[in-house]
Amino acid sequence: MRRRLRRIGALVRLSLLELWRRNDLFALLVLALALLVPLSLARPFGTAGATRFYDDAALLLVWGYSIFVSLGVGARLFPGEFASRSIYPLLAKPVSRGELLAGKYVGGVVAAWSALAFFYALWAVSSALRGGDGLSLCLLQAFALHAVFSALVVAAAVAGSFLLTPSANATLLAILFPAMLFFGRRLPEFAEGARGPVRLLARAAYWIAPHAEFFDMRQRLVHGWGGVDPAVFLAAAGYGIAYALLLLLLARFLFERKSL
Amino acid sequence: MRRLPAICGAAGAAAAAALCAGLLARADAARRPQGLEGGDLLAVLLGDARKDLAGAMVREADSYFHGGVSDMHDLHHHHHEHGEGETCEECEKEHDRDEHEHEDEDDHESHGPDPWRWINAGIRAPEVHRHLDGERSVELMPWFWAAARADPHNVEAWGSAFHVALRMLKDEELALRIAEEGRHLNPSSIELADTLGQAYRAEAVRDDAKAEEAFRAAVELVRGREALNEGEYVAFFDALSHLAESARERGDSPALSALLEAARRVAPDHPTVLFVARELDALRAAP
Repeated sequence: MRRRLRRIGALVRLSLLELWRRNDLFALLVLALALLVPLSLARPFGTAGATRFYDDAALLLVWGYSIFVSLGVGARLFPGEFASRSIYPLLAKPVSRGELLAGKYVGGVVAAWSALAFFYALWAVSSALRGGDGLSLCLLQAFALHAVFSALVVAAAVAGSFLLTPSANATLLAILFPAMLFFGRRLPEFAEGARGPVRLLARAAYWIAPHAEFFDMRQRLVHGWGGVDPAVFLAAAGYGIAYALLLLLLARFLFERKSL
Repeated sequence: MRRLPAICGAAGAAAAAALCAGLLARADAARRPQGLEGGDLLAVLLGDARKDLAGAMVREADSYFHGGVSDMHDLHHHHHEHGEGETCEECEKEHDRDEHEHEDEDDHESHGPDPWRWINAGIRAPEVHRHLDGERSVELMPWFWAAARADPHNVEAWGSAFHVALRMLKDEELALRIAEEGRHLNPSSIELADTLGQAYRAEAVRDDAKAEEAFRAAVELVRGREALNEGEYVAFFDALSHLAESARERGDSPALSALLEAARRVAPDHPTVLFVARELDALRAAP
């Protein structure tokens, strides 16, 4: 058991190093600064004191970046190993396919979480400097649900990487998750207005597709609503974890059947 | 060391952005009309989509006014507060009306079984519905400003920004500035002409001559128009009643008579018509 954990730990370390060695995060940071610095200095109609729009924009960027990072990390975990054939020496060691998948997945999730924690820390500091709450129960819940969402995105990207080409996988998920984030809960209304197969598809999507909006606590943070009810929090987190586990089982099934 | 270029890049980008923002703020301080320059660039980039963008921003401002609630369906069974815990009779009425409407909608619109509604409602619905008011309503201004930048002809954005500045922030100079800019960019808007008249009647910046000029412009703009929308209709009668009041104070019965004619052409049964007719009768009967 200890040996297995050590092997998984090594894979986690590798994933972390890979993410932070790449300059993606720094590029994102530059982009964020270029957008947020002018926004923080804006005085609409010459008025001062409005902060919520800034918090809103910053959190929207955090969401966009977290989808970008999680998808990138998840979608890169296996295709690179197959293309460079480095999967053979990996599997030649006493590591099962399931262990390799688990190790790489945990590594990917930890790497995505580290980026997420970095973005949330920047947001919390910036909010506290402008008189916001700083560290609060709502912020912790928002971070926790967002972390579950990141784990779900990485799982979807890993499962997708066994089914689709890397570009198709990334493109499809880059459309699916933002679409669900912004329009997921509107699907029943859309289905109501649609006809025939479109109606059925919209209904099926509402039941089956990953509900990214469950993890989005931006409104609560920006407008100071406070934390969510613990039962709702646990239900949303449970939904995300269960969905990610299902996707990982699918990924394992596909990986086990893949001929190398 | 390898990250030095990225860090330098970040610092450079932040400095450049700060410089641009500073220059924009300085230009803003010089009271340039909001939306003129930006309007041109956005018109090229977005075309007519900028109108939709401006509409979306006005809706976002409305959501901010409701404390961040963008979907009124989320407001079932919440406690309603105004400001720091005070209740507001007007808001309670509005809220009750909303709830009744939504109950009706629920009766008619059943989307079938919804396994996720409970989680969604728990995440999205505030336990307490708070309206922005007083100084906190400054949070609405960025959205109106952005809407006016995206589409300088969005009358609702200018009018709402004026209302927030005058009634909620109690900043009459800011309200006048917004009304002037809005009117400058929309010379054919009846609502913004009336808004400018209202702005000039505010205590701190009171100028009755300019107010009357603006109200007269609002009434004049109605001539030749076949139909008025609800906002224009309200603005026309507001401007007309202000003009009628000042004509009565001057004892100017020909002006009052002309106003009565103008009002009758738009809506012969409107209460303002009856009011102006009564004022005219009283003026004629006076010794």
